[in-house]
Amino acid sequence: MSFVTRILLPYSPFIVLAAAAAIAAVHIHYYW
Amino acid sequence: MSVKSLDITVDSAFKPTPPPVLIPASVIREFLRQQLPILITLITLGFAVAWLQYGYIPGGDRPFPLAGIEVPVWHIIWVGVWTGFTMALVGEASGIFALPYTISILRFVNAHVSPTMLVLTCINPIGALMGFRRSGQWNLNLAAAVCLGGVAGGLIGPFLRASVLSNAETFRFAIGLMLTFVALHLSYHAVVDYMRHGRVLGVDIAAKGKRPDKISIETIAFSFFWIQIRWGSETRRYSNIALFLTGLGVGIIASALGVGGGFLLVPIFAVFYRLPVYIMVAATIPFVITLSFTGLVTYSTILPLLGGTAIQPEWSFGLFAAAGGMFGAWSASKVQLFVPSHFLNLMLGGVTAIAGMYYVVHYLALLLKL
Repeated sequence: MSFVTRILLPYSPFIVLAAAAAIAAVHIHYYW
Repeated sequence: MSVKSLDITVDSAFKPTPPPVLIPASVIREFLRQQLPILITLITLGFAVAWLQYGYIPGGDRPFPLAGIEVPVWHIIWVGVWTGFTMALVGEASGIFALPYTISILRFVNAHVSPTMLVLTCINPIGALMGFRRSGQWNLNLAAAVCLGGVAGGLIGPFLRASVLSNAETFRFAIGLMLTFVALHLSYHAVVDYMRHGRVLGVDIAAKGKRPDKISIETIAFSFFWIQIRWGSETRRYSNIALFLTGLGVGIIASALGVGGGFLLVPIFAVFYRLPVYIMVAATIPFVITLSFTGLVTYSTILPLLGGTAIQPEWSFGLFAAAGGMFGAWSASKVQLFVPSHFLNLMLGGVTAIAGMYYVVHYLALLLKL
């Protein structure tokens, strides 16, 4: 199993949620 | 000058294994031929609508007039992508994440936010529908009864608005309590199933079927009263009447409250029908699309007859988000089989808990006059 099927795809929901939280934090910093 | 050919025979045991492919060629083809044109069309439409409506492109420097917020266009597309992705993984439209994020982070707080989110949640599951169809997570026989129930419920619901909404907060509180309980149940079972069976992937289920590269949900028997389906090594028999009534109930509640039906239907399928998330998307994604379109028809034709007024959406915002939402949901359909089922059930538990707790906390705040 490659890195993609072993780590990247199974954990993709959490990776995407973490990215969303990071971008939200940047938005709050610049626009609030 | 003669050319000599040299035959080289390679022992199969020494054949080098091909390097792992990051994205299969079929998925890239599907994206380029199917998704990219839709993505470009929706984004172009967003820009065109903004230009025609306002004479300029709103964004990070100039506010969206109806929404009253400044936010870069890429961020709106991203909202669609991440909410569409995470929600399509559990077979729902993006509303539960997109609405609170748009209100609390982007601060789009006026009445135009609801119809704007409707633009997103109507279009975004179509990406998932197209993607899941190619992955084999598709069975119109399974979807038929529940979708018909949804249409009937969606048409009845608006007429019950007056009676339901006269005591809406108590009604929402009851649904909130039920959802919170279901969320706890789902999360508990996700942990127990993982401890009992270990990591179960959709690709493992697919491998037990006829074609190892995709899941196939076969209809073994289909009549007015019953449907029998098979996937992998499992066979299930469901009553079409029960499926119709489930769709009807969810359709009535969802359209009476003016919300999408996925957040109610998916937990019901997970808990009462014991369907794995990989399989239930074949019914829930067509259901949310059917209910959305029924909702659009009722809100544009029936509601004005009942004395309601239509609120205009921020079209460009909705279209940008929908572009991202289509892509996110399609990506989820390509990734879902590789995400372990206990992660999906935990996510479903989390999403259901958010929806449930929102109603419960809202009711308690009203009760305590906070």
